[in-house]
Amino acid sequence: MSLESPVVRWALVLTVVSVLQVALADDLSILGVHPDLLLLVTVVAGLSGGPGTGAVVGFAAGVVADLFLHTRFGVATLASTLVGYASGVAGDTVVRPSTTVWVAATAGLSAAGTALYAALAHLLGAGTLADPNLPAIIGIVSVVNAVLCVPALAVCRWAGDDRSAVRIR
Amino acid sequence: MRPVATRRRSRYLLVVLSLVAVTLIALDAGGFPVFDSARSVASDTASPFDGAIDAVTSPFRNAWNGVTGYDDLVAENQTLRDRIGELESDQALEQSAREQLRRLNEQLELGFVEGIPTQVARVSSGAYSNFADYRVEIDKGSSSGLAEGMPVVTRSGLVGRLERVGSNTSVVQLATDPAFVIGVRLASSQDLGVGRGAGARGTFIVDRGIDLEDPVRTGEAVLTSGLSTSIMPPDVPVGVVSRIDPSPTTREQRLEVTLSAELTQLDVVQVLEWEPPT
Repeated sequence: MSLESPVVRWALVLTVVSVLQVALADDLSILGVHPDLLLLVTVVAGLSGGPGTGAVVGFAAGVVADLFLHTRFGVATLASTLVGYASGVAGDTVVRPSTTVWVAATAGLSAAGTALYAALAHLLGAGTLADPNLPAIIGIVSVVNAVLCVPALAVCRWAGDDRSAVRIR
Repeated sequence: MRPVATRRRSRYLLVVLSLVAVTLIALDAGGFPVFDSARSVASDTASPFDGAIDAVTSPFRNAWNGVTGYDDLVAENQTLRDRIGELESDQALEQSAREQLRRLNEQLELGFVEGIPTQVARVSSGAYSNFADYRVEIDKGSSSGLAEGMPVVTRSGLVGRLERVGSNTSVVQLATDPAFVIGVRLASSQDLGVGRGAGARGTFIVDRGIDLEDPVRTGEAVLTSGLSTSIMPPDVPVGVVSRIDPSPTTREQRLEVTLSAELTQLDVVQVLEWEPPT
């Protein structure tokens, strides 16, 4: 068990983020919407580490989220896995990366991830697409994630030992 | 661009992980009990962290919520001022209202908490999800003698029922959840019906069992029916009828009920140590 291993580093990152999400972020709300740090880590892990990393980190983050949500177990896991993979694909298609690009990508993918979770949960009877706060939830989660994108990118690069850190300018 | 082998491996990973996620969904839908246990353990595990970080960060959180919720505070202050005005103008009627309430209680033999042991619990956490999931967590569980299905109330009336019970925490399914279905009884006519949560509207709907001919008026009290197979004990106040919609097609009336308990500002609740018949 050493921090030399990316698996250990990712486990550490996910543990810290989970505690922050449950104990802190869930109590901080903007217009009744709180930040989604697990989604942020999923998206940024995909953008920085590629589709494989995104999918695995998304899967793990989704399982953690499912432990604290009241929808069907697995809904957040599936949504998060798909978003993590999509983030990796999106990150790979960026030809000229810059901070602006990563921030915009994080905002867009966070919005897509929230909408995907709402759609999957709705399909399984949670009624999430009928939630009158849906636009506010999507908007606020994506803006907050965009703001937190740069520090999250640094953490994910450390966890994934990404040596292409020069990509952000 | 990543090598073809890496991309192929990523796609393979995506398929495998997605299938695992779908399997988890299917198992949970099939009632596989491990997930409830895992959620209870996670909740119990997070509870001390929640408390510790709450204590450390409360000044920051209060400041943040003060800033972001400023408009709400202004609106709330205005509402409170209006309410004080109403109360002052109604002071003369207070005595009469108390007397009416006393008589109503006598008539209905309300006292729904009497005779049933209760446990007082604090709402320890609201929803983890940003979406309305009609659940709150309380700080007591099986170690305090709580069990699944026990009714949860405030002094005002019905809040919901215990859906999941961990050793030190429990999850309450609120009465506004569309999946929350109970038998109800109208106070004056004693007519029986079936009601459910109205979801995002934050009210309760009685949409079965009240015939067009049954006399109903707005403001009428709605109580739990307490039939032998009911999941609730009898005579727990649910709310008052706020709207009546006759439906000629079903020959029934659809009643919108404003819940007696204020579910958006829950702090302390009482769990009735009453278990539904199996």
